[in-house]
Amino acid sequence: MENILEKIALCVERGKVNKASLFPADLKGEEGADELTLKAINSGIHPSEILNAGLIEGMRRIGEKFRLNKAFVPDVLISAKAMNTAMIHIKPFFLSNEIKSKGKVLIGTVMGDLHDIGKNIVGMIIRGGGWEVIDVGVDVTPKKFVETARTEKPDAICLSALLTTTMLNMENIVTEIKGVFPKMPVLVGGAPLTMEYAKSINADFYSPDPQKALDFLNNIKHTK
Amino acid sequence: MDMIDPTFTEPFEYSINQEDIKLPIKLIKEWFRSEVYNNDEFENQISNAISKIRFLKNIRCGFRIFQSNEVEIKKERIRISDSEFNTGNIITKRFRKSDMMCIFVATAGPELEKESKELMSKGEMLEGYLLDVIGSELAEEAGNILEGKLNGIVSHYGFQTTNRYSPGYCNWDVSEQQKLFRLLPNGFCGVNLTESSLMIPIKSISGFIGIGEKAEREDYQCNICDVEYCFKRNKNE
Repeated sequence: MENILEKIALCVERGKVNKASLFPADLKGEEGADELTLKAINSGIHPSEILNAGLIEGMRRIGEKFRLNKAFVPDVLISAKAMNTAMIHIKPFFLSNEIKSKGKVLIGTVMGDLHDIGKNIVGMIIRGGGWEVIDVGVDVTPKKFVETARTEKPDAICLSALLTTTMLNMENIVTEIKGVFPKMPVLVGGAPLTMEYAKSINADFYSPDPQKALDFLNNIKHTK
Repeated sequence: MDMIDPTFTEPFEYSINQEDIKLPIKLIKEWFRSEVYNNDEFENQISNAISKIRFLKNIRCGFRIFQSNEVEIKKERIRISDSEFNTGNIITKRFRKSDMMCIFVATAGPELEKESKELMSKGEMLEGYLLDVIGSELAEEAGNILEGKLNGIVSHYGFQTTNRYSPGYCNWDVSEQQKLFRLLPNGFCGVNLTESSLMIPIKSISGFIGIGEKAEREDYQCNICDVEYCFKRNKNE
C-alpha cells in the first residue's frame, strides 16, 4: 500500500499526469497519477489516505521545492495538473462525505490588477494541500470580496497584487472585509509586498511564497 | 549637433512583420529551467506554440522623439516637454550623456494572452503558461525591433542610443506610466493604460531610450538595482 501511495506522491511531485503524458521524459510510458489513483481506490485503500499520503504529499513536496527555488512555475503547473487529474477519481468521496476538505479559501487578484499567474499558483498549492479554493478572478473589488465571502463563508481570504500601484488597493479591501467579518483571516501576497506593508494595512499574514500561505492556513485550522 | 530632422519628432507607429521577429526556442526554454523540460518533445511543443505568432495581427511598436530643447536631465529627475519624471538615481544616471529622449511603446497584442487565459481556465496550465511566456518575450522582441528602427534613424545624424528603461524597474515607480502615456497619442500602438498604470494588452512594454552623440549602451546589470522581486533579476540569475 505504501508503495502505491509513494508512487502517487512522486507522480504529483514530478508532474506525471497519466500514462500518455510525455513529461517527465524518464517516466514516459509509465502509469501516472491518474491510473495509480484509480488503482489505489480499486485496491481498497481509503480515499482520504490516497489524498493525504499520495496527492497532498506530492503537492507539499513541489511546494517546498518551489519555496527553496529548486522548482519553478512550470513545475508547479504540471504537478497541479497531475493532482487535478487524479482528483477526478477522489471527488465523488467528497460528495458522499467520506472525506472532507480542510476548509474553504477565497482567493483573488485585487482591483486594478489583471495578473493571475501568481494567484493561480497559490490557489493550486492551497488546493493541493487539501483545501477548497474559490477563485474570484482578477480585478476584484472590495464589494465582490465581501459579497462572495457572505455566500461562500470561507475560512480565510487571500489577496494578490503584482504592481506597486495595485498593492495600494489592498488596504481598502482588507478594511472592507474586516468591517463585515472582523475575525476573517486575510492573507496578502505578490511581488512588491513586504511584511511591513501587510502589517500596515491590517492584514493577518504576508506570504512570500505559496507554501507559507498553506502552512498559515493549516495552522489556523488547528487553532480553531 | 543636438537635433534631428523635425519629421522624426512626430509619433511613429509600425506594424511589425512576421519575418522580422526572432524568437528562438532557446530563449523560451530559459523560462523552463527544470530537467523535466529538457527533451525533444517539449522543444516541439515550444516550436508549435511559437508558430502561432504567424497568426497575430497586432504586434506593433512606436515611438516619439523629443528634441534636446524639450529634455532636461536633472539629478534624479528627467523633464520631457512639460512633464517631470521622477526616474530616480539609478535610471537618471543612465541618461546623463543623452541630449534627446525617445518615448516608446511595443506590444505583442492581445491574442496570445487571451488564448493563454482560456487554456489555463480549462486546466491546460502548462500550455497556457507557455503562451504567456511567449507573449512576454514577444513584447520584448517588439521592443528590440523598435530599437533597431530608432537606431537606423538616429545613426544617420551621428547619434547613438542608450538601453531602454521602463517605469516599474530600478525604482522608477510604475505610476509614472500615466505621464509617459500623456506624451503619446491616445491608444498609441493599440495600447491603453488603466488607472492603476497597467498596460492593456498586458504583453506590452513602454519606456525611455536616450539619444545623443555620446549616449551609451550598457550590458543589462541587475547589480545597479536593489529591487529583489524583479522578474528580469530572477531570469538573469
